[in-house]
Formats: sequence, C-alpha cells, structure tokens
Amino acid sequence: MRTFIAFLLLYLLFLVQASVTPWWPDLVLLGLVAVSLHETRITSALAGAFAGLCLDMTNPAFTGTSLFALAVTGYGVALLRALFYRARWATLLFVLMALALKWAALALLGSGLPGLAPLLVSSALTVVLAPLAELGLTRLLYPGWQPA
Amino acid sequence: MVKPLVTAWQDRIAWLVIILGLVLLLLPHQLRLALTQPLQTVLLAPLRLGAAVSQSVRDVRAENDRLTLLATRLAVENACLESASQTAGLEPRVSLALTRAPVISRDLTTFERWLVISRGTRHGVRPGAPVITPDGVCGKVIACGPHQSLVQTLLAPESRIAVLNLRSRVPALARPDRAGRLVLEYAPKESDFKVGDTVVTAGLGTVFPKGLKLGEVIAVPDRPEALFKPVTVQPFADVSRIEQVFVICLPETTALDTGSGWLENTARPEVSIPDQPTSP
Repeated sequence: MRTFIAFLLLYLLFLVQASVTPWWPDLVLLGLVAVSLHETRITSALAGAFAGLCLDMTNPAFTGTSLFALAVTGYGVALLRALFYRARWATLLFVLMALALKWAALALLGSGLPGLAPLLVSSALTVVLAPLAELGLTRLLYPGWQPA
Repeated sequence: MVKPLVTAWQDRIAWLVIILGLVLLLLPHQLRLALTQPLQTVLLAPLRLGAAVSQSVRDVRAENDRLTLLATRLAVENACLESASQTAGLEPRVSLALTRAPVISRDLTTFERWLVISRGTRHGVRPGAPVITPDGVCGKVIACGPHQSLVQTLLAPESRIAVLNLRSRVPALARPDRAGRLVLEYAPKESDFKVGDTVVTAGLGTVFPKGLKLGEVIAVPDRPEALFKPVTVQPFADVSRIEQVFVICLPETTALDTGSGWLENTARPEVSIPDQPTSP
C-alpha cells in the first residue's frame, strides 16, 4: 500500500511539474530521491522508470530518455544510501548526481537542454528544496523510519 | 544464503528496467510513437481534462461578460424605446418569438454567403424568416426542411435589405460588395450620412422588422460624378464566425407568399392615420 501511495505521489508530482514552467524545481526528481531512500532497489528502479515514463509522455519522440535516467537514479540512490550515515544529508549529494545524470541524458539522448537560465534556476531550487522534500515525504510516507 | 540470491534477483529486474529505457530509445521513431500513444492518452488524461475545464471556464467567463454587456445595452435601448413610444403616445410593440439555431454547415468557398442551421419547420422556422445574432442582422431563411434550414446571409450576392440611417432617418438599400461589407444604394446625394452612423433595417420589405441593427458606416467617399451618395457599411454580425443564430418565427397568420407582409401583425403601426380628417 505504501509503495502504491509512493507511485501515486510521483504521478501527482508529475502532473504538477508538467503544468508549470521549466523554471520550477524538479519535483519528480525530488520525490523519486526521497522515495528511493526508503524503498528497495527494485521498487526504486520501477518508481524511477514510472516517473521517467510519465515525463517522456510529454515528449514522445524521445521516449526512454527520462525513463532511463530516472530508473538509474532510483536504483543508484537505493544502492548507495547504505554508504551514508545519515541519509537525510546524503539527499543533497544524491539530488546533485541525479540532476547531472538527467541533464546529461537529456542533452545526449533526448530533446536537449532548456535555456541556461531556467536550467540554473531550476537546478538551484531543486537542490535547495532537497532536504525539505526528503523530510516532508519521509514524515508523510514513512513516519516510523529512523535514519541509519 | 538466501539474501544474496534475492538481492541478485532484485538487481537483475532493476537492470532490466534500466535497459528497457535504452531499448525504447533505440526503437524506430514511428514504432516508438505507436507504442507510446495509448500510454500517453492514459497518463496525460488529467492534464488534458484540466486544460479543457480551464478553457471552458475562461470561455464561459468571456461569454458571461459579453452577455452582461449585451443585456445592459439592450436594457438601455429598451428604456429609450419605451420612453420614445410613450412620448409619441404609442403602445409598446409586440415581442417577437426567437428560436435559437446552431449553425451546422456553411458554404465552403467564402464561409459567409450561406449557412445551414439545425432548425426547420418542426421548430417553427418558415421560409422568409429573418435570422439575427446578438450583434445584428445575419440574413433570412430561404428554404426549410423538417429539421434544417438554409439561410441566405446579408453578404450573399443576391441579398438586398432596405435600411435606414438611425440618426438622420435617411432610407437606402444595402447590398454586399466583394470585400465582405455592405454598400448603400439609392441614398440621395445630399443625404446626411457620416462615418460612425448606425444603420438599421427600415422595415420596408416583407422580411425584416424595422429597427434591427445592421452595421456601422465606415466610409462616405466624396464622388461628385456619382448619381447617389456612395456609403460603405461594416456589418455588426461577423457572418464568417457565427456559430449560432436566432430565427424570428413568423406568426402563423401571415406568410410571405400572401404578399401582404407580416409586420403589420407583429407590430402596431408607428403612425396612425385617422379615417376622417379632423375638422378645425
């Protein structure tokens, strides 16, 4: 049930992100990182694939780009989280890595990067909001969870 | 012993998902679009629904604003007319029955000469009935079926409408030109027409009642050699964009083919002539 709610939340975040300008923070990425910090590797990879597939639907000519990038992100976060003592602070690092991976995938395999200004503003907002998003989503979806 | 096996199984599935993304990227463009079409329909349905609802709300608000403005304008006009008729000692005119009719087809060359509306004789529409819009006169019904009618617009080449300058009360005959406007014929050379004047129907024919708004004078060129004053009128109704019209239903007791006209049965005469001259 919790996994289903997590998928539903990612879908809702996608709906919000698809309705706003590219200057907004990457809500789907934030949600995925927060979910992947608590779920298994396979669930994280599937959640990333689902979120990426949703994002790919807004530009079907490059279907697979976001799916690949976010599936790797989800799997990578779930794989690497055990290396960090406090996952909450590792969120910043994970989000930075995920952003780099996503922009690289879009630039190399997808429809290309947005303008420099929206790219920088959106990335900065995403990084700034990362700890807050992780805290909020953890309390919402995994209330009994304690950091390792 | 079990834990590494489960972990390996999970990793394999996760890597399969990741590779699936790469495989999707390598698919031919057309195949990729065909595969994603149903998914796109499902996943983006809430967004499309939200956009449609938002657009509908915007349209309804704009329409509401327009109708409010129109109602206000009509209320003002109605008050003026009532005041004028009371001043002249006349009783108010009989109200006309209107039938709303969506436009379901139009001529495919100019979009503005002929319309087909989805109302016919079953709805009380009869040949010769005037067709109007909230903006002004649109045309007249020239043929009727049980459920559909053909409307000749005021921009059809055969259209002729007797008109009146609302300000100076000068009568003339409006015919369409080739630029989607109306040209007034037989306006006396010394007649008083100015740019900005409103032109209304004169009620002299057997089709249109008197006083329906038709258009606005946009040009009165000075041509000394012309026999009559050339006046160009821009119709208020944008015929090429009309989506619904109102048909003025003819009273049952009258018909165009009687040759008597029908205005006498819908409106009291504006000027009464005594049968016997009054003696001083």
